[in-house]
Amino acid sequence: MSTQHGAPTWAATARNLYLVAMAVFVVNISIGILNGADVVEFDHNQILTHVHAGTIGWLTLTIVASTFLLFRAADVRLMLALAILVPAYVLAFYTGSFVLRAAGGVALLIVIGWLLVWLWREFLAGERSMPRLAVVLGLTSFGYGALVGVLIQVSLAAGTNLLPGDAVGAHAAAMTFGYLVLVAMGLIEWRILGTADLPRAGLVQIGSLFLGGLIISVSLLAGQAQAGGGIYLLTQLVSVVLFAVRLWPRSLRVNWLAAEPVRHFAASSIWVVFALALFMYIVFQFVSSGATSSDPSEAPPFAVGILLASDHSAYIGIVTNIMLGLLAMLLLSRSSLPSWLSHVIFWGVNLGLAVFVIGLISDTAGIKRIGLR
Amino acid sequence: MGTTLLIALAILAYAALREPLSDSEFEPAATATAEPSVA
Repeated sequence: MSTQHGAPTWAATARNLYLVAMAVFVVNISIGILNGADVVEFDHNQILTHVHAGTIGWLTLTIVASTFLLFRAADVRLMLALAILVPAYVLAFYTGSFVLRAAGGVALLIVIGWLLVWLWREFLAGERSMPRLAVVLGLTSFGYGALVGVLIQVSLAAGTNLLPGDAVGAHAAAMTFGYLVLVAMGLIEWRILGTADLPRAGLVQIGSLFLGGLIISVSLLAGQAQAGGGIYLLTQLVSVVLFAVRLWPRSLRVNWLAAEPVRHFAASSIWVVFALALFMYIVFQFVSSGATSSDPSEAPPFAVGILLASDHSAYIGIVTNIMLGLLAMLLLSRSSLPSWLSHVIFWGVNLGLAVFVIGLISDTAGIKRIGLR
Repeated sequence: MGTTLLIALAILAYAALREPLSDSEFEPAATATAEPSVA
């Protein structure tokens, strides 16, 4: 199947979904810059718009588009459904209407179910490689994380509570490391090692991350955060050590000064370890303190800064780096754009993020603003 | 970081709309890893 310019349908479908993701990302970045620079005081709905424009709009749409590239297959109707419903869901957060959020969330949840059925069928029918399995498991975490998130919105709209325990914590825990970092590990593995089979160490690595995300989410819902946090720490430690041992010998040896997309995947592999280490530190502090809620408003100020540093390391350092690398491969490999632009993008994003993260951890507004710009 | 990301998006959006796609960059990997495998 080909499109009018000779490109296969899966590549053109991925390109179209990337374009929608980029448009939503502009909303996320604009709110982020103005908020971080303290230029505008945003309300809770606008901050939720920033979060969901980033996590669902940019990260999830680009992850689905990248899945089309990884599997060399796509479903155009699925792409169109996501391209319409995701921006609509982000807009629903801006309105502050619980009814719109719940309705948009339920509609999106149905499409996420469709995505998972399509994805598992593609995986089981085709090459069963570690990159593909990591992406399928990661998006499965996204599925149950989305279910919890949508039930939160339905509860708010109905004025009742459909979920026990710490539902917001369960939603966030599933989405960041059980979903985003797991998918990222698969995509890094694909581009750095080119793994086409299922190595045992790799299976333990991604299996630990998947199970860890599931355990922490269930334990937060069950009110067993302390026990769940302890097991979670162990699974994350196993996963991150295996990841570093397997990937770093290859990824750290890329030519960092060459304008090649591979350095984005290599940089992402560094941010994986950094973001996981920060998050494990937070969980360790949480377990040690004997706290019973993961509500950030009840956490000490230093922990909020570290949590934001860990989240942004995952969103920008890990996933956005990968997307910039894949987009450069798909869109710029045959273009005549000058190579210095590649250097500006790579170093601007990674050094800017490093400064921003230092500002968040040290709670220094001036450093945060410099990194954010 | 934010400004760089906006510049990157502008360049990529331009390329997405004007440049040919490089789908051959995503050919399946020719080699598997040397690690023990369950496959």
